Amino acid sequence: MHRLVSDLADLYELALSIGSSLNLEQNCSAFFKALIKRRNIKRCSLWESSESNMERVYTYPWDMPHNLVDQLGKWSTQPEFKLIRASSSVDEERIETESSTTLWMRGEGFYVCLEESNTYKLTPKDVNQLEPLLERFILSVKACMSHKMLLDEVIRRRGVEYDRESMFRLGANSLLEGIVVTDLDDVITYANKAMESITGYKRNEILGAVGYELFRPVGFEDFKKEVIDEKRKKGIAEVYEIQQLYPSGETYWVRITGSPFKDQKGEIIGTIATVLDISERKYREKLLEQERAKLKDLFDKMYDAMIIVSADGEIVQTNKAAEKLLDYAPQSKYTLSLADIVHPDDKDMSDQFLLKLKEAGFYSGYQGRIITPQGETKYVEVNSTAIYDDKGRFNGSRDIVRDVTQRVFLEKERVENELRLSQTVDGALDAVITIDNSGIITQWNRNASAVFGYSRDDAIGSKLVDLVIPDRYKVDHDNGMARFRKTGEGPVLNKRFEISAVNKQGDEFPIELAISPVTIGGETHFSAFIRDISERRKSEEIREHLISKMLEVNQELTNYAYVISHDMKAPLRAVSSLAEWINRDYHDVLDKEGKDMLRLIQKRVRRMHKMIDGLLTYSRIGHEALETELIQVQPLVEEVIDSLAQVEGSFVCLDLYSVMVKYHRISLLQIFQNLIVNAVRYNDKDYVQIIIRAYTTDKDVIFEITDNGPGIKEEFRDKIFGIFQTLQSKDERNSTGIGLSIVKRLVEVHGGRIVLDSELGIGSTFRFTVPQN
Amino acid sequence: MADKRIWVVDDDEVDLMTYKRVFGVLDRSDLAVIYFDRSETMLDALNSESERPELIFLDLNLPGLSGIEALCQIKQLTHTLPVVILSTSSSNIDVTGALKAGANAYFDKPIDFNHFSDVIEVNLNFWLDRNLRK
Repeated sequence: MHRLVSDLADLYELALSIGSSLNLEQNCSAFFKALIKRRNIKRCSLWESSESNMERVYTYPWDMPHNLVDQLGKWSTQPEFKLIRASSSVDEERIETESSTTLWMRGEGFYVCLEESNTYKLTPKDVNQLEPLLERFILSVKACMSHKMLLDEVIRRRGVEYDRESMFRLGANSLLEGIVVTDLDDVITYANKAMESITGYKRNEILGAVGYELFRPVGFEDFKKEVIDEKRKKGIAEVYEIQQLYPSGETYWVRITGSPFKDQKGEIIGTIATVLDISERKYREKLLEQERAKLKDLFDKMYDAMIIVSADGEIVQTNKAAEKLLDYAPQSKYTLSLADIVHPDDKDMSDQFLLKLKEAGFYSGYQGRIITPQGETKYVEVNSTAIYDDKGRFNGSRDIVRDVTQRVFLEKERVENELRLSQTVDGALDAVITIDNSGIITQWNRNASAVFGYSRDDAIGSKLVDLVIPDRYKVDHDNGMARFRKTGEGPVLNKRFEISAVNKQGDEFPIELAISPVTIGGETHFSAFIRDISERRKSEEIREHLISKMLEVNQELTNYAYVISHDMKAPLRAVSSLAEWINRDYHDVLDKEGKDMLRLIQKRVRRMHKMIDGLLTYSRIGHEALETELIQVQPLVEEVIDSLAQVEGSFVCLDLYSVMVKYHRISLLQIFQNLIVNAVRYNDKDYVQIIIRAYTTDKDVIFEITDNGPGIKEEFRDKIFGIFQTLQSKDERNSTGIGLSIVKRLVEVHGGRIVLDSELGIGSTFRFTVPQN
Repeated sequence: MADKRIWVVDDDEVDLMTYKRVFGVLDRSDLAVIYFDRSETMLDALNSESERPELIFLDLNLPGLSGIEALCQIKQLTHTLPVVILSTSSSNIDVTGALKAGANAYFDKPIDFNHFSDVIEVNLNFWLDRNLRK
């Protein structure tokens, strides 16, 4: 008993839920399934009755034998159709057939036929319990039928005519668009098949539900208030797009076209709406939006400034670079137009540019100046694309503006540098030729023209090898270039060497050449600095000739000195000896005058002998290698003084301390000997005084020999160093006059100088230097 | 008794006179002086004569075979015979050349007669007086 009651309660709940579903087919199938399952009923069917006919609406399962259908149809029309039980709403009738017993329940124009199974007979109690369920079922069937009508209306409105059944099955359900009908309480009374795929809910879940509760629109606090009621107030069809949630919680987008649903009297009985899944479109839109954002980002991040200018020249859009270039914030209150920024001097050019742009639709390479609102001048390069409106009228431009200020300055500087360089190169004393790494001449200065005879125009663009390189060097040149291209090595680079070149006339001449690689625009060029050394060669030859000649003459001179020593001294000595012997042998025969003459002969001969010796000494200096040694000067000078008889009786003061010099010993002896002897010999004082001192400077050791003699007149001071120069009569002083010239030569051969400092009547100072190193 | 032979080789007539006068002045009875005016005749004599001189005074500038060449030949014949060069030349080339060729002494011919005489005397004393040499 208990079990039965609870079973019936379940059935009731089921019936209620079915009632909420307004799909007839689903409704029936669900109800019949439940009945068959729970009550061992073999088969159920729903019949609609009219005054003359009974028409089967729905059978479950479908395999009702045809004979039975026919039979039932026949019976249903018969007046003796027996009611088993009748109530206000449902009539019942059991019909016995050969195979089964059928229970008919009738209510408000509908019959439900229950075919009993062979194993179970419905009891009156069962029938009693089924009564309210059937009542409710029939109500729902009626609701479903009215929905069917609604659907017919929908489809009629869409202008498509189908017969009811096929329209119902195929038409509405084959639509991609979802169709939903709700009543005034927003309960969904109809949904087509497409709604299932759109929303993810089964139709039995959808029917009877409140749409906005089931589908959960996203982003509304109170969908009914905000959307449904609003729209209903307006009473017109409206389209709106909302995002909803699938049962799984994922979102999708739909476009809903809703309009009030009116009955034939024009009363609003609900809402009818078509629903289109626009997730794909929304997804595309989102992608598009992202693309747009990316483009915007790109636009902003573009290195080049980009501006969009309206037809009347107003700047309507700028990217970040443009804002920076123009020093202009798009948020500023004022707007900027081209007229504001184009440099006044470039106005004409800018107008021309605009004209061309309008004609051609595109213009690139405009170069001009702009002035920013802050007054700064900038150089820009502009590429423009015209923008046209729908009707093809010019509607402005999209401009890419590149700031080339720095480039312009660099270019200016480069041009100036190049000019300066080319002027420098042109003015260079050398011929300057530059070739690129394939050997083509790219630079040819004025002197190159002078040296080789080709004009600049002839030369530039020609191959170097064809112009100035003699045939025998051509292969070397080509190999050298090839090697540099391959290995980057050039043994002739950055070195000075001498070679031959050939000029336009075909004459070969010697040149001095230095080649250095220069990088021009990332490519290696070679600059050659060339000097025609024909003249120098000639003068070198002359010089060499002169030198060899001089050496020859020098040798002759040395030989000459030797000849003098031998060939002149010998007869001289003979004269001397003979004069001596005449004086001796014929002493008694000669008178005084004769003897005097012989004495004079001897004297002259001696002097001549000394002169020849002096000349020999002088000529030998510098010819013979003088081996130097470190000499302590004081003892050397003492030795000189001791060896000179003439110095006896003179006062010689030595102030040399420990001075040491590197010198040829004999030379130093000769120097001091001559200077000391001179100081004594020419002294006119009774008391001869000689001071010899030394002091050192950074470079030199300086020796001073000071006497208290007569001094030497200024005009003779240079003369005294000349060969055979003495200032007094030779006979008077027994001097050859060659001593000082020997001294001078010795000093100079050792790298020093000798000067005379003298005051008449007071004395003279000879000062000679010895280099420190 | 003339037991010390002195040879003089010089082509200059006045120089030969000078030698003769010097030896005359010196008045050394122990000396036998022979004069040659060419080195070839001197060398012939040196090769043939059994008795070689004790000392030779040799000039450098000689006609024909020069003094240096003659000196070399003398030194090939004998190492013990002293040869003193008396030349007009005081050039280094001649001095070192002569010394290298084996000259025992080299003197620049003095222009003064007395000086000349001194040179001869000094050499005679040095080369002929054994005690002095040692």
